[in-house]
Amino acid sequence: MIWVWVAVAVVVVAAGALIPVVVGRNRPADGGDAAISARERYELLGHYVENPVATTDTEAEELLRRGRERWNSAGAVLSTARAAADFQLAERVAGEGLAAVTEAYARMGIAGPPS
Amino acid sequence: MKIPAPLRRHRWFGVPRWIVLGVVVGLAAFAGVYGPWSQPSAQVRTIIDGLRGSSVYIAPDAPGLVNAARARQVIGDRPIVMAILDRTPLPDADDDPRMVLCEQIAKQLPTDYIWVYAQTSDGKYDGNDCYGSDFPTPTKAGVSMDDFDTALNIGAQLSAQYRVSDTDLTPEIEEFALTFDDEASTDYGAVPTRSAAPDELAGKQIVLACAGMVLGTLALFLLLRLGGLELSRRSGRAAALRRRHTELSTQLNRIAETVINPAEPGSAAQAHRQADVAKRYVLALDQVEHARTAHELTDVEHEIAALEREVHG
Repeated sequence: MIWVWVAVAVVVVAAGALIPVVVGRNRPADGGDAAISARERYELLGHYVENPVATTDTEAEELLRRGRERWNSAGAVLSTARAAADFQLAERVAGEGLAAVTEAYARMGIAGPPS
Repeated sequence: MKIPAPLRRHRWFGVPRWIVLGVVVGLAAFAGVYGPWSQPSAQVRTIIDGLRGSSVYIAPDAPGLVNAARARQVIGDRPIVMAILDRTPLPDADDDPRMVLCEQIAKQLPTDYIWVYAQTSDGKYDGNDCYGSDFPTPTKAGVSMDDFDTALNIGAQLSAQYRVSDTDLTPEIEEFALTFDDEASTDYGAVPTRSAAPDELAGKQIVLACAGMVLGTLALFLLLRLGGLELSRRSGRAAALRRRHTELSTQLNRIAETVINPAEPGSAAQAHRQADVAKRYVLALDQVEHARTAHELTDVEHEIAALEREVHG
């Protein structure tokens, strides 16, 4: 009977000590506002580079290609993002792509992504 | 030792919450082990007290059907004790009430055989026996404690059946002791001897036990929690390295775009420069893929920054 009580106490103490740590480690990705913002920028970039407009301007074409590369990179970052810092990185990469797309559209004389 | 911030953050009554909870769990465990519900009844305590200095406890108004002096003499230092109670009937139970009381005594004397002589509600004064959970098991191969107990009781009963009478139950214990020697010499090789009855815990020991359980609880909690936090810290450091790794990969992707789709070289020197950038890109990619430490990542960061300046100006 004594060992039962001791075992119960050990289990309670171990659970109290380890559950908060384990729960913290296994918490699903939650970047909060950073995650929403990063995904929004990523989707917006995808809209412009997934099916890029045809152009004869080689510089604009190169800028669009660079935008597409940034879109792929942002997607790779987002696929493994767990913390806010990961989502911020993805947002920054997507922002670089949008900047390239904006420049390309300006060269083509059509309206680009909203700033 | 410095207590980590997560363990100091939440407080109850001005004391860190984990200490309060640790003390509560420690006290609960102490209460479980030493609390009133785990203590023997007053009757069992009286019997145990009586067995400290002798192998036989005899109640003040015992009916005299068992000769206590003779019982002490035949038991000697064998691991057998006897409680001879008065004629107050034992409370009814599903099992033989004597056996119920016997098992309560056996919890306090786990290495002995216990005999209980008492009266039941049907008016019969008789004896029954049991053994403690730590009574040594027979050393003879293939003989279990149940085998030993059965042989002992049957042998003792057969030997005593024509000697006991309504007014004298002493032969029962005499034959039990003799049969015990016989069976023990066969099943153990030697006759075991009795150990002393446990002392009652003094107040100081109880306080020490309480303090030990509370401090043990706190120490165990702290140890496990610090271990858990260290694991978290390590995984945090690993996540930071992974993030740097990812960031370098995105930078390399940008360079790859220029390396894979180079501008038309205007001169041999420019072609050489593009080839050099491509070579450095491949080497940097290899460095990124194999970088495991912060130092290695820092080295490759410098190389990629230099490459970016070369490619994008």
